[in-house]
Amino acid sequence: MHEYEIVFITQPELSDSQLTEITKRVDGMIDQHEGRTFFTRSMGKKQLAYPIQKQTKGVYTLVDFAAQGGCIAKIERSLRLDENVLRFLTVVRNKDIDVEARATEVIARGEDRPPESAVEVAPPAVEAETKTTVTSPPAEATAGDTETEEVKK
Amino acid sequence: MRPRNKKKMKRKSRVSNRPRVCRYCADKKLTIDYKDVKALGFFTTERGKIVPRRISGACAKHQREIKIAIKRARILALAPFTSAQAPTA
Repeated sequence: MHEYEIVFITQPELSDSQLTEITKRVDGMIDQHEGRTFFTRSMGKKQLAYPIQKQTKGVYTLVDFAAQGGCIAKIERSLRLDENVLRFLTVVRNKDIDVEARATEVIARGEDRPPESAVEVAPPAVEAETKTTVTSPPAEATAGDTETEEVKK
Repeated sequence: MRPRNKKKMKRKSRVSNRPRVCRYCADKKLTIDYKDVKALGFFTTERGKIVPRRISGACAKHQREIKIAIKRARILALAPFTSAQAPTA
């Protein structure tokens, strides 16, 4: 059994009950195929980087679960048929996992909580920010390169 | 023809700008996640292109992971495919 992660984007004006209906349906399908849902988390309403089905905003929901591979196609089919789902992405997180061990690990590590709430892990975040300033000049350099490329064209 | 000196100078500055170690190798706790747009932002240009290894300083292994993460983020509209897609609102 593998651990999968599905992120799906739904229409921004969808009501809460409609959204829970979709997540319930996904959960139901996981249960049907003897899978196990580790957690379902809302990532909130976000601005899309590009419009999808003429929508500029979307509500992101993440489902982390363990299941047999065969159930993925069925879940994806149901999401594809749902008009309220703008887009989805399934990713294999871990292969051949021990479901019970992984379930306790998820809770112990607090993986089911959104990363923003992990404020107590402040030091690495600060470090990352300082690194940002270091890495930003090369980014500008590349921008310059692309500009010259265009000029050549 | 471009003057030789100019070319040399440009190359030199590029090397000095480059971070010496891969940030993901330096900090083992950092994980590459396609949902973490902020972190991936350091590996994309303003146009949304993936920054090459020689500039980002990432090691081969992590550059591969970064590449996959950026492409996944693009599918989920967390990152643009091109800057032409940049939201106007």
